[in-house]
Amino acid sequence: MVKSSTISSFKAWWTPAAGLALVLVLLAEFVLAPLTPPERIFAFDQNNYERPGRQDYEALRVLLTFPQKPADIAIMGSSRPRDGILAPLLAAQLKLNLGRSVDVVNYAAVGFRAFDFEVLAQRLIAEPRVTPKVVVLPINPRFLQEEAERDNLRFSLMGFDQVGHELKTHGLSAPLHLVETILSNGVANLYALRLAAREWVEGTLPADFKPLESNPIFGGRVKLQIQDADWLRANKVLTSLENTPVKDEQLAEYVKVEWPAGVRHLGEAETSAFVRTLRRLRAADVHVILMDLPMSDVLRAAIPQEGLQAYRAFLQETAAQGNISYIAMGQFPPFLDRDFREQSHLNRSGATKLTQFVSVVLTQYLEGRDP
Amino acid sequence: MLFQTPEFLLFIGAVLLLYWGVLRGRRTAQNLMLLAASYVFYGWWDWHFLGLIFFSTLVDYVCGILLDRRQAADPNRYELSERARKRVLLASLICNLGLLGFFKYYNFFTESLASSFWVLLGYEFEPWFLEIAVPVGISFYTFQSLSYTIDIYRGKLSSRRSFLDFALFVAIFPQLVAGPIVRAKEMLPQIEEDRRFDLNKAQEGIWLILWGLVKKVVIADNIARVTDTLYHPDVYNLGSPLALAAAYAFTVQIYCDFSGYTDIARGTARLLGFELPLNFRLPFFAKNPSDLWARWHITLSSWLRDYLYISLGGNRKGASWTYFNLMATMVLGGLWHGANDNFIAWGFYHGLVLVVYRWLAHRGMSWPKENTTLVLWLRRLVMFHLWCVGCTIFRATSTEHALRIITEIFAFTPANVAVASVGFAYERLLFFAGPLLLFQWFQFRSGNLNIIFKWPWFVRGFIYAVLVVWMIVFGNFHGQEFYYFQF
Repeated sequence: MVKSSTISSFKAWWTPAAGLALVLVLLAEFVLAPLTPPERIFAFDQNNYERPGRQDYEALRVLLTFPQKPADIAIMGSSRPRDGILAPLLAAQLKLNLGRSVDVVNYAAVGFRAFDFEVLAQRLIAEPRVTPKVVVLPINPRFLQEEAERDNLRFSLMGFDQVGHELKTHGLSAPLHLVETILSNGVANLYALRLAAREWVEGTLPADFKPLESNPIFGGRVKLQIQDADWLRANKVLTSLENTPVKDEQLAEYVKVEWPAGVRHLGEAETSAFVRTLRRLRAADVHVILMDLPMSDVLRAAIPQEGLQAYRAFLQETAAQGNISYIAMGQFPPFLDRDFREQSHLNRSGATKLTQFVSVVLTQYLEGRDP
Repeated sequence: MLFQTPEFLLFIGAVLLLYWGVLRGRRTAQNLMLLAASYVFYGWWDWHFLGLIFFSTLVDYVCGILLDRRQAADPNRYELSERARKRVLLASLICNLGLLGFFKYYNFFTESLASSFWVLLGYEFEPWFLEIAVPVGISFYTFQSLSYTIDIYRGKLSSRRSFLDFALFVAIFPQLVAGPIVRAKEMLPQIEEDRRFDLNKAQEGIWLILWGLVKKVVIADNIARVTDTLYHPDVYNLGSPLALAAAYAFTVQIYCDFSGYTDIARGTARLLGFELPLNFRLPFFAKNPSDLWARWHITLSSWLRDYLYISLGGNRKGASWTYFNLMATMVLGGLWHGANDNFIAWGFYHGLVLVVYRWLAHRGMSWPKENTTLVLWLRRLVMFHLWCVGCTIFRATSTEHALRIITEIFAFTPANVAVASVGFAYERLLFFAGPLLLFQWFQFRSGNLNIIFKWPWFVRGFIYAVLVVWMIVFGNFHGQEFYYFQF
């Protein structure tokens, strides 16, 4: 008969067994996990859209923990530059223009805004192995808006020191993603294995997935870019504003995201975090190229022009004061309806156009000319 | 608030600090703080339902006092007549079961009534449905609270004057939402006693919490990926290997999910100085249907036995009535889980298995008669598979869906790889359930659920480390609710 016995010998509030367990867990963290090959650590799918937003930050965190090679150019920003700048094409174009290889990484992540920029930039500066030479930062008005609703996905990017600052600045007003933050800081190696393990459990990795090539963070394509490439190969017409005209209520939704009513569009805390971060990057000898992001003519027209001008004036002034390159919308090649997947995200045609433009800007800078 | 979330970690940390630090040795203050913490814990889901718990508590507290009021001249005699006492008990039953029925079964019965009207009379009416969620854990705390009034009525328990102590018994947070269903006579004396911090209990408590967490966030939640794929209602023609994998996978998942909750609840209670009853005793090793119910959801089985089966007459009225009572108890046990055809079918199935087993045993027709080791293990294997069939009925989205899967198991058709590969299902089953079975085999062989504390410290340390690393790498901490919360 099974019985439920009690312990007969108990010496102290902690036992040798607990002590040994702690040592073994640390051993796994510091010895076993680092021996795991990168193909295992990076074997997670950044393009799995069933994990909304989170996967980009997870990828960033793992790359920060396991830098593969120092990057020359880092793209930062939201899903707009993530979808809109094709890292492999940019690298190829720069090689063609400059006659040498340039490493390009795309750190852009869904929902990325001023505070996320601050956290990521701090991490990049703090670890010389991942500090890029140039940061390309294409932004849109949302980047500096006062955050009415925010989800701190950046928490998984933070070091414990940054967590304290975050709580002090913003309080407990948003989900803290405590598990990710604690695990990624406390046992970063095991956390990386955790992401790869999840893929095995879910069994959803595509058969042709290559850990060090397929994820956008290594220059792989994002899901919609893959779809566009497939469509182009099949001679299908890409989804664009030209063939899917937007309805009024849909446009109102885009305006609500881009320029919501009742919100300060140059948030005080956001702008100061933004300026502070730009200064830090400059102090760390990282050049920043700040850019506007293309948006459709219809969307631009629907946003109060006065506000948009104030936003641009702020960027211009900040760039001038901080010795930062700023590429305003007026300097862009024309983006047409056929270049937009929807009002603010580019399709492959638009992404190719933007990438080529960025390559020109970067070539000028890297050749020592003012972009 | 879920056990496996950081919120609970902060919550229990604060509770323990107050409980053993600030309020140590002050039982009333400890109980008051625990009651407040329990209401916070419950209100975390939906504070509106706190009123229900409070109402249930108040009704049973008053009924308890009325039922147990003694004559001043003769304390052995009740003040109320037997008839009046029955009415008081009835009031308690109506209030508790009324609330349970209203929230849990109203929609089911209204819908059934509407379809009956349509089928039998050709009369169509649009039923009015209740559009609110079923209060979490209502089936658990209702049964717990009812045991108090029934036991007082039966003279097995005396009523309590302290409303605080009684309210804490009904609401105490570790087992509040998914059991074990604690009887008043087990719990109230513990609440009324001074408690002192016991390091042995605390260590056992921490082990139970760790083991429960592993069962839930590693084994159950990861195997859930397999069951979600295989039990998808739109999936047809799984093929025999995958249909069997579906049955195995959900059996392991539901066991680890539910017993994981119980382990964490028991562990947490031990940290607070309470002892909750065992709810699972290695059910994978049951050797016959009666043995299964002495190992699976023990507190519900024994509640149904003591308050329903025996009240119906048990086995005192002859074989036919025994079979009827068994069947009625199991069907009502199925219905306890929720208003769903599946649960009724599940209860009916297990009732049938029990009746057939009793009938065979009654006629001395159990085969083979020898109790060799091989025979015993064969019996366990058969019982395990009978249980897997029950679990399939429980998990499927409808009885038709369940029948489809069960039929596919015996169709001996190849796996439909378009749904999932055989490797996908069995690799994960082996990886997650294998270590569990191995550990349980040691528990079973030794006859000691706490076998781990008999092992040398370095073996224990190694096991703790493996479990922690397993949890870090594979644990799902994103608030996957416990399966039994819906009940």
